[in-house]
Amino acid sequence: MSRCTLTPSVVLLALLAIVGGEPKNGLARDAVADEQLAFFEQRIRPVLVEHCYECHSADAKILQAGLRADTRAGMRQGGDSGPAVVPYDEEAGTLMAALRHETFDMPPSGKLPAEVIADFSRWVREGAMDPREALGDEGLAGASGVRRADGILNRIDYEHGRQHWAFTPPAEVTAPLVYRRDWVRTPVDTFVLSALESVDADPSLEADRATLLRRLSFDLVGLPPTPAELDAFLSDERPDAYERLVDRLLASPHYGERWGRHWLDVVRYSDSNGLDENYYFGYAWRYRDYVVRAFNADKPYDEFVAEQLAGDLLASRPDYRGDHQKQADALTATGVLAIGPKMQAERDNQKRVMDTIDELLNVTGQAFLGLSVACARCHDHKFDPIAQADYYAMAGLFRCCVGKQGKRRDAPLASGEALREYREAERKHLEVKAEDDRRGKLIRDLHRRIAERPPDAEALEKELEVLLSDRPELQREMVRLRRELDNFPRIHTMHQGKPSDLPVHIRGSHMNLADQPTPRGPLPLFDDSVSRPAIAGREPGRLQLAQWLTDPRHPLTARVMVNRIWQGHFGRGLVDTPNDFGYRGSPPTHPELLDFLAREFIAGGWSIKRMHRLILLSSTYRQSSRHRAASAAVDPENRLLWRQNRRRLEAEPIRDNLLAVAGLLDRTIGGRVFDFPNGERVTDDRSRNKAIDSYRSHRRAIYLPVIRVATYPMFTTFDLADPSRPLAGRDASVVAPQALYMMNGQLALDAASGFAERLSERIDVGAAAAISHAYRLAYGRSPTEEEQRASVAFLDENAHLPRDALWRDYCQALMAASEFIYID
Amino acid sequence: MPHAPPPHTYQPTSRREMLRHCCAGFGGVALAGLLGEQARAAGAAAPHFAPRAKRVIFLFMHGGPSSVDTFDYKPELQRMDGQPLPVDRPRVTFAKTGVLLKSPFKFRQHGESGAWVSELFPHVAGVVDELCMLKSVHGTNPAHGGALLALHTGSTTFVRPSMGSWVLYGLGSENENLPGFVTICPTLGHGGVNNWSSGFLPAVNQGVPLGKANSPAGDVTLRDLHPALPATRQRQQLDFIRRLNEQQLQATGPDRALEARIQSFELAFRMQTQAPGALDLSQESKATTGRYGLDNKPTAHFARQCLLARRLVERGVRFVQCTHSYKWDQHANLEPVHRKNAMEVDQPIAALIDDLKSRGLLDETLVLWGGEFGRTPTAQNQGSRQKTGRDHNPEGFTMWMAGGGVKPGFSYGATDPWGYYAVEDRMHIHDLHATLLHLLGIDHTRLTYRYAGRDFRLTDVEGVVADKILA
Repeated sequence: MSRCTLTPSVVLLALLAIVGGEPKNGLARDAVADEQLAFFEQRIRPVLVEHCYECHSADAKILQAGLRADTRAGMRQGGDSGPAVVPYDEEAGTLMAALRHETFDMPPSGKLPAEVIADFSRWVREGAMDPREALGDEGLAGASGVRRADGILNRIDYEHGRQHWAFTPPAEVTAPLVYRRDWVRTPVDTFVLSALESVDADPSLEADRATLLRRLSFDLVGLPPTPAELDAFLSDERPDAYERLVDRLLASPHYGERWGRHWLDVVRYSDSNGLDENYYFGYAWRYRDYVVRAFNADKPYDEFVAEQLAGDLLASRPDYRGDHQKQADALTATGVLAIGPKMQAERDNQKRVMDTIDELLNVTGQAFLGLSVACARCHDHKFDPIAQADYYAMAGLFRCCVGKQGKRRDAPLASGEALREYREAERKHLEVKAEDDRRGKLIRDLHRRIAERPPDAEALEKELEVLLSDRPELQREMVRLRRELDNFPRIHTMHQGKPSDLPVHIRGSHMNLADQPTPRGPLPLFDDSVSRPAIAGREPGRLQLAQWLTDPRHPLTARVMVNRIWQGHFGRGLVDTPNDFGYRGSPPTHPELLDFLAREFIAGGWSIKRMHRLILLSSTYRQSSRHRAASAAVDPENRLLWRQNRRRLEAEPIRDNLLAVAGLLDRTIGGRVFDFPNGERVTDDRSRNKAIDSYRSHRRAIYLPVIRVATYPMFTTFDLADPSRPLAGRDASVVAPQALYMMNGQLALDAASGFAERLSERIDVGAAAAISHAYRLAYGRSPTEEEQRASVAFLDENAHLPRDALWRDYCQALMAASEFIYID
Repeated sequence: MPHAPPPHTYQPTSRREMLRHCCAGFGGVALAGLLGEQARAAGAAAPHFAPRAKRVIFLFMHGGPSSVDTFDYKPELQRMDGQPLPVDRPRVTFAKTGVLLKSPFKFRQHGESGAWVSELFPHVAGVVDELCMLKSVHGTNPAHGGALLALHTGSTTFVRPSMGSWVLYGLGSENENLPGFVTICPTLGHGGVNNWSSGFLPAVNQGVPLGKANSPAGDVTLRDLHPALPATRQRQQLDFIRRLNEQQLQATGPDRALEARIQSFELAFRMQTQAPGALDLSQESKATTGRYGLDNKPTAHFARQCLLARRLVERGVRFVQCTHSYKWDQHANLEPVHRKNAMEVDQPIAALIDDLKSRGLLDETLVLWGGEFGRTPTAQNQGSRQKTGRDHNPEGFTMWMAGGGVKPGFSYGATDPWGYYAVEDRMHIHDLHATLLHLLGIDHTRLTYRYAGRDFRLTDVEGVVADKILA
């Protein structure tokens, strides 16, 4: 057998040189070759043109199955399912079986006539003579792909792909020389200044103190500075007053709320499933609180990554077992893998599993790697060096996190002794419940039999009576045990199944699998920087994934995160596509600065707060946001940072600002606001949103339930996108509905009243005092004389209004004006 | 993670950029106009070729109306009642279903086109010569959630922009005081807002819901539209806000976001007075409201939706969806409940087509009718004639279009003799989307938006325009 298959290929090689290859002058083409050529031109080519090219040629609108039938090489190399034609061997290529409608039904419009199929059969058997030119470069990218053991062709050229700036480890950089060394406060400044000097642009002056205070307050805690804080900072004459302010704000427990919210955007945090069936994730909030705690505690980012990807695996390690809170945090952190939108009613189970894994790859790829890994589900990534096989290797890492369909995905947050106690309580509860069910059935039986009035009815009634009298106590016991169970804190968590590898899904279809699984593991793209860890058969591999990600030599992890931190302080990252560092992403405006920060981040033990200080203490950050015509002419988009950017607040801080200035904000930290059963529908086809009342809570915005499909309308008005996908940042649209909200929205009206009330004592003193206080509350500064005059004019013009109404209108105007929601 | 707006928001490089990102919204055009710019503020691209339709009204029959009981007459099904389905079932089905079930409704041919319409739609049968039947539509997902998302966004898997958002993104709005994409009484179930969300497109392309599934369509309004203050007092306040904003702008230098914000308050003020008028059905004549069926309880709800839709497209709203919410899911009780459902929508739909035509709007307005899937020709919950129902069937079902450049009185594609699978001129949901965009002058392969490193389309990598239906 093996000889039979070997022989034709030897013949093929010999023949190709004669008939298939370029006819060379010195080589006489014999009669056989002429006849074969004629046969191809008359019987084969016309059929290919008529029936195949539409989908399988350079001119195909969409090339199907990666197969090109318009070149010799295209047919021999084949597509997703392997070579279409293997000369002399009808069985080996996909073409003949497809034409006979045995595998694929080709052409799709209907089987070709038997004689045409016979022609093709003869053509292949006689060597598939094909005079057409070799495939050009424009065809299958990197045509010299590698055929893997599972038959999948990997066309990715990693070495070439790695030339992209983001795919090599951050370089060691030395601070450039600058002229204006007096301007330099931290190394950040040298990089920024150097770029400015190269275009002869000057940096801006430092913003005034009130502006810096308001900027820092919103940047770090997302709340306005109070008048007392304003006075304290304005009168602090110590040389390190600014540093002290930064440190005070970084130490605030509200810092974690502000920066935790940024992270929640990246990981598409939600308290409900969204997508098709909108079930409430009753315990997702514990993950949210974990994130807030992690930021407050300045948890090193490498730990933060590892806990989210593999906290369940870390929890059993000795260093976690010894620390209850740490262990609980690790378990809670994996909630991020469970809060994605899942198609609950998907009837195709295999598709559902793969869709869920795909969602995880999409989130983790964008969040940690800044890469759209999920683009390689159906084919090799079109732009980045990620092969389809690499996708399935990564997908295998998450296979064990996806289990059966289910609307409840919760587990007790307990371990060791506590977990044993929980299991015991659960066992007891189930036991009592089973007993109660048994008796319930007996009771129903007895009722039925008694109704038939049998001769022994009296005895039956007595039996029933005993059963009925015992039952309440049993049910009380059941409720008591249920409560005991409920007292155990619970977390939203992913499925924990057996690790396994996944085969490549050809064209992304679970109906068309490669014949061997792809060993699970991280991307091979960075093999020259970080070696891929070995993963034993019993290990899920997520721990190794985390280790790989946080290897100091990893090209992306640190860059991606420092860029997010930068974005939080300037409104735009050094790379302004924060979730895409690949070929389609934007290049960094300051590549050396980005690398410097990334290396500092790793050298500083992945401390996020340290990065904040490095950035916030710089002259670059402290610049005024004023427009300057000369610099604007050179760099209209301010990409070189000749000034600080003026930024519009996002939806959440706008709301918190309204409540804070009105004196209505409840600053309690953590916990659940929307008390609703886990796994119940929070919106349904009757269109009631059960969470709507909790949107009226005066807790900080981060604690309001995030209901996919039914997010808080005020947030949507101010550009919160539905959190069903990772958000790289927020839009800052300016649209009429936002103005309508500030004019007529309930919260805006309530806030205006609260604000006016806070002024009332000062109003008694006089309008000037009240106006001044209002400005300090709303804008964190005193009014200018002109502003005083404008305010007085408004109050005078409307003096006919009752005092309450007058000041309410005034306060609402201050809150509606741009300065309230724009940060200089 | 940090959210800040994209850079061009503060310092756009061009006026066009600014218009795209700052002031487009609903009413985007008005701002553009105020700022001396051409219309089409939100739009990404001009039509790629001459449009046949300018606006869309989508009459969505949530739940899945049965094709073989409405517009897809199958004599063979009538003949084989009670026999097993002679072809294989799909690999994935929603529920187990039984034998072939003939339609309990009488069919008759109507109009010059001779189209078969069942007794469920007597009024629609009267305008059947305006309709272009699409009898071979098919999708992939047999569950409501997936099928709704596929129909509205082209994806059964992820949250993607809605077709209304794509249309608005592509063409921009024509009205200065109204949103460009409105969905009337939409459902919050089965994907809810994902069905009218702008996904990764700029948020200004989001569908604006008017009311919700179970609210009376007569009471719908836009959010925060009702003035909190008497007009003169609010005007005084707005003048003061304007002064504050102008002072800030003067003090800190030119800033287009701040400029746009000043205009947005003026627009909001005008919308308060003008938008309610658009939604005020009492401005319609008695004759008109009567034709739509506003006076009868069963038809009133959908009649209001249809009439609102006409008032909105008349005012240049680009995409309006009316939803007959989650009514059509007859796994059981097909005969009585389909009858009731059809009665609720039949007269309003026919009146809408008539009304659009008599006002000369039908030529430029594409009306699309249909559900997220059809129903199987096989029986489910078989019992008495009254109790029997049909399961979901995404494999082949009928939708129809009218107006906007499609052939009137035309029938496209066909299902097998029993009405289970689409077999002739098959039209996948992607093809439906491609065709819809084509009618609006948009090449579906060129209407793209780059997100996460990829250029996305409504039709993903699929979609073939059904040339045969173009008028």
